[in-house]
Amino acid sequence: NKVDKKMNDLPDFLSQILHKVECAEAVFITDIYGIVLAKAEKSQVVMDSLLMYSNAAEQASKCGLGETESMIAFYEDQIFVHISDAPLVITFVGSDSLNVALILEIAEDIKSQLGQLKNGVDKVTDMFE
Amino acid sequence: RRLKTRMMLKPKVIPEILQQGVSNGVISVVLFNNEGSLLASAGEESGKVVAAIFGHIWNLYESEKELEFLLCMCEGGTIAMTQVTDEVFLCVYGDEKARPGMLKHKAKVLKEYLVEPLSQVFENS
Repeated sequence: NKVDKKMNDLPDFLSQILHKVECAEAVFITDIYGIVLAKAEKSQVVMDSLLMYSNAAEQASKCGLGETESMIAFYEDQIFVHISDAPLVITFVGSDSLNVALILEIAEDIKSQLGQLKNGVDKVTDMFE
Repeated sequence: RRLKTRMMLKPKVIPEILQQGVSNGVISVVLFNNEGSLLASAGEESGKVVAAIFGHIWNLYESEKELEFLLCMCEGGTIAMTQVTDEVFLCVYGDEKARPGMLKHKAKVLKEYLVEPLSQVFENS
């Protein structure tokens, strides 16, 4: 079944991406509520920030610069990169040497693989509205 | 009895310093406190709305780890934010031509310039 195969391939695809980005520790695909739908991890990562991005992005879009496309949080020894792909969020976590520019470049490649997942999330959302 | 000497901000000097960051696509530079109230600004916009919103966003991202910078990329531009002292924050925001890395660098440089004088003012207040 092509749909199932593509969904099953997603963690492998994310894992390949993760290993191409130096200093990246994990990549998550979540919905806007922070629910993890797919992921790849080199080491276990504590993800407090998964839920906060949706709230932050909504607030930032009120600044007059249009919709929020991404948010990057630089901590003392860690970097979180959140990228919007409504209704999904792509999150990279890495060390303070994480190549953020590379992640933003390859974000479109990742988005191109998320079509089926986005359709699924939209359908579930429609069911409950 | 001698009165304790208090340090005050010179209201004209801070905007002049912030104005140095307004170039190459930078729309505005804003200094505000942890309540989202504007302290000083330079550039086209007053920055009041940005100050209020990004003060709240910074609180969302704060955790046990020290948050050093936030970069927010929107359709029409980018906002770079950093904390200067415990009470003071800085936002540099630019249009779609401004490079995010450049905005972050400007925020870093302005922070390094302002941290010592602002720390003295707010420590004594």
